[in-house]
Amino acid sequence: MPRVQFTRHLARYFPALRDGEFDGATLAEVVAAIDRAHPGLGGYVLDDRGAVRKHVNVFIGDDLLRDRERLDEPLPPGVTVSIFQALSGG
Amino acid sequence: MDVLDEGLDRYACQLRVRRLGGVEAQRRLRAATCAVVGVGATGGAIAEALVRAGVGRVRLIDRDVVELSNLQRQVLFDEEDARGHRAKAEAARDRLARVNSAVALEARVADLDGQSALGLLEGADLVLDGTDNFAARFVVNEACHALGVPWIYTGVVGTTVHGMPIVPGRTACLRCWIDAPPPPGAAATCETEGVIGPAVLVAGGFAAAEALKLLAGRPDEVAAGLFMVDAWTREARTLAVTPDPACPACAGRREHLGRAADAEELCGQEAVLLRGAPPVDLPALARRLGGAGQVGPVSPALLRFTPREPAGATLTIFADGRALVRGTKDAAAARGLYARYIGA
Ligand SMILES: [Zn+2]
Repeated sequence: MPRVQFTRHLARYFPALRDGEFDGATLAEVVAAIDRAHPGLGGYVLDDRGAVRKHVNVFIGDDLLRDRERLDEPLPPGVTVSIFQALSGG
Repeated sequence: MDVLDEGLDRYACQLRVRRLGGVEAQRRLRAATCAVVGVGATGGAIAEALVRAGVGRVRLIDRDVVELSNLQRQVLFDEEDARGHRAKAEAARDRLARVNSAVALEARVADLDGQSALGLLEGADLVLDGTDNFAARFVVNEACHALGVPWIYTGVVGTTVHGMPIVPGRTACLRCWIDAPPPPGAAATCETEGVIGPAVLVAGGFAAAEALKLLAGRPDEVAAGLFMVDAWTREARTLAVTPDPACPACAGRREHLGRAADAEELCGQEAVLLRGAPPVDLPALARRLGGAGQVGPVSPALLRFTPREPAGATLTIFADGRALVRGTKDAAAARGLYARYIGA
């Protein structure tokens, strides 16, 4: 099962959110599982068309997801998926 | 002046760090010019580290004035700066001049946007990001590509720090992994999520260390990729970001350079920054405004005006034509106040 790490500041909107395992063979399935566990979180990651939002970054293992619309590729077994957005403050 | 002439004693501790490269590294630092964009929280910590380390020339670029609420995390300023509403670039210069008098310090009270960026950054060997918004960072990214100069991205929100050294032609750039600035409201910012001072110091320390490597001639030791650390939970990780073959910035396209920025609501504050007006004769303006409210303080860079009407509004007019209107979040209301007192 893929392990998912979230950007820290999401805890503000989803206080129960913890890094952990979410079921799914593809990124689309994993995001759906995340949204079932934390309703609304899927909409933070994906836009209305189901593409990863432009200001959100997803890493599959060490690789940055480049094609924001290709969420149906099989994920490597046991991979870590990182979901975050760049920090603006300074 | 050679670094050896002014004595190496003050740098003895860093000279003992072999990885930095000894006297030869110190000479390179002395010969280098850095531009720090934004000298508030992260930028202030970075600037202080560079000045103490003996970087020869440091340009301090900031558009803002010191407020009391800055002092919790902005290490270069004190209560007197806040009371006097001093321009941050000038207050930073005066403070750092007392830290290391051998460093040539340039204060630029200016707004870095698509139109001013190349002029402000020209001549720098390295650009440090102390800004608090992505609009400025996208401009810095393109300007550094155009100038062929490396820069170091840092972002801090809450207790979390992001950082990434960007070397045009060698590493991925900001645009390689961020397609677009987050839409208003979607970004976590210091104003909505707060920030603790120690997180800022972690960010400043990370950026300054990478800066020393680049400036001292150790580019091979620069930490590639996106560095993420949480100052509270102590989780730290580095994600590899490879250059995007389709990146417009890496291809030299200019989407942000050359374009002047418009009015901007300042994140989370009751304030709007207006741009686009021509330079202002501040002494003449001060005389003219005297009857309409309270004027002061006035410096060569800015004038602060508290009109009698409406209550709660203040206008900070910068000599370069910008105006910071406090007391409203509405750009149209801010423009109205500006037109009423300063002129259309
Ligand atoms: Zn790029």
